[in-house]
Amino acid sequence: MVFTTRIRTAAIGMLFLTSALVSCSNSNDTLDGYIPPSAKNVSTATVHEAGTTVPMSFVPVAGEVLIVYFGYTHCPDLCPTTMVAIKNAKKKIGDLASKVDIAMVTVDPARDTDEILSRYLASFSDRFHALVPTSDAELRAVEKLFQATSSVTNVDGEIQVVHGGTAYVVDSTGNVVVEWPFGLNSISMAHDLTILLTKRKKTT
Amino acid sequence: MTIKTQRLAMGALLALGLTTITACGASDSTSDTTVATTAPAPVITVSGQWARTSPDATDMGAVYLTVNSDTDDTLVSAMVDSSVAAMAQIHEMVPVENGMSTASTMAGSPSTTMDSSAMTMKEVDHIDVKAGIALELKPGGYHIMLMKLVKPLLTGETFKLTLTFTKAGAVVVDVPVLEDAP
Repeated sequence: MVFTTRIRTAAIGMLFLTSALVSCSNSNDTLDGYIPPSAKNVSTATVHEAGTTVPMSFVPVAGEVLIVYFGYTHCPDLCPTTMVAIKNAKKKIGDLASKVDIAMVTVDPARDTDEILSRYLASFSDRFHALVPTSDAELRAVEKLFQATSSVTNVDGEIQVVHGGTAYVVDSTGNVVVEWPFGLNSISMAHDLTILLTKRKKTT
Repeated sequence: MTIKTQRLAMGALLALGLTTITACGASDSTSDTTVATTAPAPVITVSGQWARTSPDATDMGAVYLTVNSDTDDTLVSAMVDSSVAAMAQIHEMVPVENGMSTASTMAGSPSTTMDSSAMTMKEVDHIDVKAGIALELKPGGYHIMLMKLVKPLLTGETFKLTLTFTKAGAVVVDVPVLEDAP
């Protein structure tokens, strides 16, 4: 009997917990990601884009958004986790996905050539920009605008890469409208994309 | 009979609760389970194991899983066949400030996964497994890194991973390759 009571208590507790957690994918107009406390405009940034002689500028056309990620292809954990979450978020929003563009800036241009980064990104999306800085200054300039950081160090032949896990969503004014910290799931990303591409359409 | 039915109903409620939580993004751990039972050695259970499909143009991979043990134990190594990858290592993602690692590398300490700060990957030589407390290797925390993949990890394939624990010894699990967490 005591056992049964415990189970009942646990079940009731679980129901409460469930109610609390359901709110993590809310249906209101509040973005699940992080909104930069002060305006972060990245429209002046340009980075070499694989496959073209025209540098990439981080301003999507009106009515679209651009997701920007700083990563590298020798990254087995954070980068593919985030790229798959973005891919799955796009699947969840139907036709709106055609208004979502993706750019990845490699923080490890010594190893990530144009060809390697392009092949890597093609694994996740049919629409992408493979951005390979041609100089350290070019990488630092774009990182500064996004307030991102990275470093690549070679310690006794072992290459250690530091990078932020954040994905940045940029609107057609060149402003970062929301930032997705590492670990935000595809449900939340889809929720944010839907808000940005529909309810805030007039502002972009 | 009544009590049994009641328990079943409660079980269903619990299952319902768990399903809803899973929909919010938490990983579920109902996948294949392998148990090493060399009595009276500790019982180690490895569940929910999976490896991420490797993107094109990279030869790195990652395996995630959950370890449960009825006794304090230590995970000391991971190994895959040389037909899969040249090397497997236990890695942890750790936050970094100003280019310098500030994270505690204390074995068993969970890593933050909802942090926008810069991170880097470090090899760890062991992870403590506490009795009765699930040790999760998951994205943004611990993972088994596969280096120099011999061929890409393709969705739907399976390979064997050997985990070695100080007390329980070697535990071999079949790891399915999936695009995303199960």
